[in-house]
Amino acid sequence: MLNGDLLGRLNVQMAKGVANFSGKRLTEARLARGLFKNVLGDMIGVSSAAIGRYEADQDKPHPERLEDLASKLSFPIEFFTRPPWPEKIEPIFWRHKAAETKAAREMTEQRMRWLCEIFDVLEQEIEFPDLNVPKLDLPEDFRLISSSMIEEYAEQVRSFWRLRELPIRDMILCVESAGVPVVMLDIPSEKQDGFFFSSQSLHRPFIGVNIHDVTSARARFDVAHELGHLCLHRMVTAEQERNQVSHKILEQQAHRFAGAFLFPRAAFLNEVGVPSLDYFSALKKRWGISIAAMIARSYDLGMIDSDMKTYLYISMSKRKWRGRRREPFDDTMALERPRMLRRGIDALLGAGDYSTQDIRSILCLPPSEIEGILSLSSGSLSAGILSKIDHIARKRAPVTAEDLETGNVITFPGRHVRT
Amino acid sequence: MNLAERTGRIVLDDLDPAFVESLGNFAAWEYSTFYETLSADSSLTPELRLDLFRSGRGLVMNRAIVRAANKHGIPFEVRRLACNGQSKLMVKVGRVILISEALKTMWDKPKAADYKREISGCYGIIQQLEFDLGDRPKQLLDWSDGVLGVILHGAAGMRFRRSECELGAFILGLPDAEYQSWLMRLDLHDIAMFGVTHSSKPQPAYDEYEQEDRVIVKRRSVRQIERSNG
Repeated sequence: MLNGDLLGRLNVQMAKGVANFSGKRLTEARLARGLFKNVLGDMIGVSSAAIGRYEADQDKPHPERLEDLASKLSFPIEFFTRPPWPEKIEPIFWRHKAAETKAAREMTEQRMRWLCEIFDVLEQEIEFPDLNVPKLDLPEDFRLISSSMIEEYAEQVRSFWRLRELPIRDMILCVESAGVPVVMLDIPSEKQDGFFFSSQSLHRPFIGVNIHDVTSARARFDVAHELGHLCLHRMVTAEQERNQVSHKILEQQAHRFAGAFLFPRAAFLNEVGVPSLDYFSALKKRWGISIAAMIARSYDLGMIDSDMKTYLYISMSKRKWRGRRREPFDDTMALERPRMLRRGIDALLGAGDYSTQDIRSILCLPPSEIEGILSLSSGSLSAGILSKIDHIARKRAPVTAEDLETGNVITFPGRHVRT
Repeated sequence: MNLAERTGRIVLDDLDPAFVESLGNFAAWEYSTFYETLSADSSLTPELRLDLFRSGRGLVMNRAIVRAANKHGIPFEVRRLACNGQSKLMVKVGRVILISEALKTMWDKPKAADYKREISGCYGIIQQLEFDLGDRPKQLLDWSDGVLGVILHGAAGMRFRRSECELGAFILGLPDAEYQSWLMRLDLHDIAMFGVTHSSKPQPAYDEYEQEDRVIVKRRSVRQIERSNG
């Protein structure tokens, strides 16, 4: 039985716990690392129940324990004392196979929250491109969207962005030019292809693509697929997205949109004289769409029947073109990279008011996470350098002027040339 | 767009620069190796070496073509010609069918032959040629809308010397229907190096289309910035 003195001491110890510790932050970090509570507990020598109490904000860890937690999870200590992103992000349009685990999805969900945080922090100092996505005249019920309507919607979006009926050289540039940030995450799961969500508080949609062992054509298609969700499914609720039957329809619609957007109907009918693997192979580099996707597109547009589609897929297998990175040009076509968020960082550093260390402490995430979300080269933040940014150039030159009378150059050391 | 322009566009659209680059590299090596082989053969006189070099260039280029086609997974076929019993290597790159021909001089005109007339068809549109790769059912066998291209190649000089036996001309010629003259000749070195030709001939539509970069990110002015303590 505890006597009053001991109880009092415990209360004092509890009071000594880090007061502004956020349990939700611990949950985020743990899920991002893919750890169960008991595993994390074992790592720092406490029970899983203790971790549960920390996460539920029923208990606050002591500074030493918090330090231990931060070290084991490889997060800065300050991360656990910052308020978490307040918004519940939904609906999230996942592009993944049904077999994907909840834990793997949760790992990615944390990155989405941090993406919102990073964008929010950057947007306080940086002006990003305005959102410029056409508001299509959609039926209220997404199930009423037919294939022919999707073809027309894709054409409308192309027309709105003045893309004409020509190949899109850089799909990510196309989407980011319309104010939609794209992130490329290396998620070690072949079952997760990408995601799309809109942040209500930031008034901004975000597209994510898993670049783990992905080809350029596949990544382009993934981005176009998520764009399909953005354009077609603005009225879809989180419940509808979670429903298996609805999810399947939503995915099929986004898939059709991706094909129609990347290779419009008229151009496809014009350029694909006869659907054959050689034709598709020749068109792949021009249109940046995989041969398998072109077979599906031929079928969607009624150029071939299902037998022929199967036949072409079998022929691809015979040529050993099926499977990851096996199609022609898969190894030579360069992966497109996002630029919007990266440019935000460049602008901050370029102005000379921030160093990479400042960026790290403002964003308050592990450097590897920031690099992943912002598509910076690996190690650039942790090493304190960014590849394309010349830090010497950030020392702005003082303003100079020529004296018209004497011709002498006068320097104003207190004023600097704007960059 | 006239037929010549259309033909040029198909070639520029479908001809894979990576394949052309490999072909150029392999051809240069094969030319050089062939010279070395003949030079090392002490049983040959200088005149014989030159004759053998001239007559063997076709085979040298064929070897380079097969290597490049294998490297890039491009289908090819050796066809035995009914008219003279010779074998002819044909490569199919998208809608372009390539054969090769050794040049004596840069001003050589197409050398007419029955099989060439047959495959060059009407203004370069192939009517008969079809490769059965097992991926097309019967109804698709009538493959059309293809273009015949001839890889024209020649040595840098006329004599049997190392510098003059290197690969010199490396051109893609597009013959007319009668195989009487070239509709167009494209420098393959250009295609290999830049992806497209620098000539004034028609360019593919996507080269005219520059995608605009509108991802403009600006630092907010100080007045706009609302700093937080976060």
